[in-house]
Amino acid sequence: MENHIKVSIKNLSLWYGSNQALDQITMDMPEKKITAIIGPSGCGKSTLIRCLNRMNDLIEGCRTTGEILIDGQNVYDRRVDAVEVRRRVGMVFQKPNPFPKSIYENIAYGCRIGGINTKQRLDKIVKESLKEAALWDEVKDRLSDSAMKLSGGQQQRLCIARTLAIEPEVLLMDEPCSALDPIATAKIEDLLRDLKRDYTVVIVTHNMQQAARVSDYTAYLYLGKLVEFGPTRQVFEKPEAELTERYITGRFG
Amino acid sequence: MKPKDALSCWIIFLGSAMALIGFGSAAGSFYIGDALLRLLFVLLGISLLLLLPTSFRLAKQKRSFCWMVAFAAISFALAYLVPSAPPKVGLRDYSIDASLMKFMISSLALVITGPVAASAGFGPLFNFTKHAHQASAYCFLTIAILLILYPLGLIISEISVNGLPGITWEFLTQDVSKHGAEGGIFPALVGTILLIGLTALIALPLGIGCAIYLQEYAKRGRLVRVIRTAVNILQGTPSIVHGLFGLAVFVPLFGISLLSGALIMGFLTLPIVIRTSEEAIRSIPQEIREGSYALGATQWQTIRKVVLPPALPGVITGVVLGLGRAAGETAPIMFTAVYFMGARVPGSLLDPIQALPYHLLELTRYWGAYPVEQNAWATAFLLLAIVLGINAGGIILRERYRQEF
Ligand SMILES: Nc1ncnc2c1ncn2[C@@H]1O[C@H](COP(=O)(O)OP(=O)(O)O)[C@@H](O)[C@H]1O
Ligand SMILES: [Mg+2]
Repeated sequence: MENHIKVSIKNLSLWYGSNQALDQITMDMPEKKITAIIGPSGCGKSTLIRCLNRMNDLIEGCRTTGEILIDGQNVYDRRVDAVEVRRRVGMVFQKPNPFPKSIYENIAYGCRIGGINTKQRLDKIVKESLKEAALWDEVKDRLSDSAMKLSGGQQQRLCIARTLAIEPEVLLMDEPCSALDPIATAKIEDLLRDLKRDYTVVIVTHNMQQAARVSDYTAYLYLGKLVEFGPTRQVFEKPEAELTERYITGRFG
Repeated sequence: MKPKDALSCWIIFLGSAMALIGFGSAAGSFYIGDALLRLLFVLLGISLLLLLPTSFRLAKQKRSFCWMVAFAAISFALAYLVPSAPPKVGLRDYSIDASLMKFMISSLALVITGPVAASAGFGPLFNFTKHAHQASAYCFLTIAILLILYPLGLIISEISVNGLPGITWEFLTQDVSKHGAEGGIFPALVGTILLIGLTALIALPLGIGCAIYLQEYAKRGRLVRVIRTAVNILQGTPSIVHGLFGLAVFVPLFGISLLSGALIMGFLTLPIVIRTSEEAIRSIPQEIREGSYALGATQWQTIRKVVLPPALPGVITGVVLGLGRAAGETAPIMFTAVYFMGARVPGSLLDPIQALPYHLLELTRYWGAYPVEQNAWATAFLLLAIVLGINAGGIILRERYRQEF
């Protein structure tokens, strides 16, 4: 792979209590590309992606071994603060989860807790983030309305805008379209192609076509193990493992 | 509607109406008269008897048939037991004579037989049309609502009618004199307001802090279980025990004073505040917290800016419930904070106070010996107004916050 490696996962294993969810995962994610993670449900996709911003720290009894290097720095290093990691690695969740605040405050939130408080700067950031998430035109006249009044697709784009506002380097998305209709999904896929210019994106999806359409690299996960990882075209056209082929062609099970 | 459906509905209506009448009679507010009462019992009995052939024909419903016979018999029996001379009952007559006893028993019997007869009417309904179900259920529920609203309306109207004329400028602004027969209640009014305010100052930060700790920081573990149990015990403790505890612990330290009273009231309201705040915090979905953490927020930032704001309406409700209770309590403060006459408006936290509920207690104690009736009713009215006012204020605040999002 000719690109600079942004995220490098080395021998990552994870246990929920005594239950092992990830087993010796090793993979490299290139900078400013979209990496898709696919696999049947319960195989550990969410678990893997949540390791990248240390969200699993919040779960009691969760234990990890191995390393995740972002720009060469291990995020699981004892000296690294999880809060700092999360400002560099943003995350969008499966279910849109806007805060019960105004549209404006939803986006300003990340900046405010990061110490940016001047109205001028916040106004600018809110506008830019909403534009970046292709939501500005739909909400520019009602920034002070509740975010809860937006449609599901709009809420999800708001969550993306909210994440972009803190200027992360890596953007994690856990099945961001699974709660959305086809039109809203198409909008988010368009958006992903634009975001690739500035961000390294990792997206979990259970929609094969989506992975094929938007991603540059694809990882296939099965029962907590990485079965296959490579450029998307290669994974979809001539997969190395038989498991992958069966999953992709829908003859799984 | 088939005749048997109509009959069932009629029994349910009659039974519920009789329960209502019985309730009113037991509360001593009205009495519909012997003849009418007898007539009602007889009507109920006849209606139940009329339903007999139907329930007999439905072989499956032998049980409802037996009930029907039993209740018809009880109804006819009660029709003969109705007392001949209804006594006058009111706050002013304390003597309980034989006719009063008879009267109480018959009205209580009404309260009990009414709903039971009503549900006996439901028995054969099982095979009846949907419309009959609908009509009778509606009738039953309406009357149940009336039954609940009735005592509330009675209390408010009685106290307003008797108390409102006593609310004058002098009454509100003057000291107590002549054992409360003359003068006003200014010190008691101020005392109660100060007591509630100070109680809020104590219970609010402690209660909300405790709720946050239990919900956000320490979700399980032995310590949490101990704290939860302690809160439950605190909530179940009778208020007089709180009062005695205050007498033993706070009075030696702070004397009979505003501070002692407020500390005890704080203990009394704390469990309510903790419980409802916990409930409110728990209702905030985990996804929203995760959204905040994912943006690099610390736990405290998440709690303060994402969890607490939407939980606030619930927290406010809890605080208001707690303070509303504290405002009307007498037992916790009677040994720890109040004097009946001597206390003026307190100059410091360590001065004794007067308080409305305790003042009312003392006034009713002098009932008959001194002409205190008017002032007692007026005090009761004022106390009711304050408690309802606190609750109304809480509702307004809650709606204000809720409307935002
Ligand atoms: N918080 C948790 N506690 C315990 N086990 C969990 C938790 N989250 C996920 N798991 C388990 O880890 C495995 C992987 O789950 P997940 O990563 O959510 O799968 P996916 O996102 O691929 O559907 C599953 O077997 C699941 O039961
Ligand atoms: Mg998942």
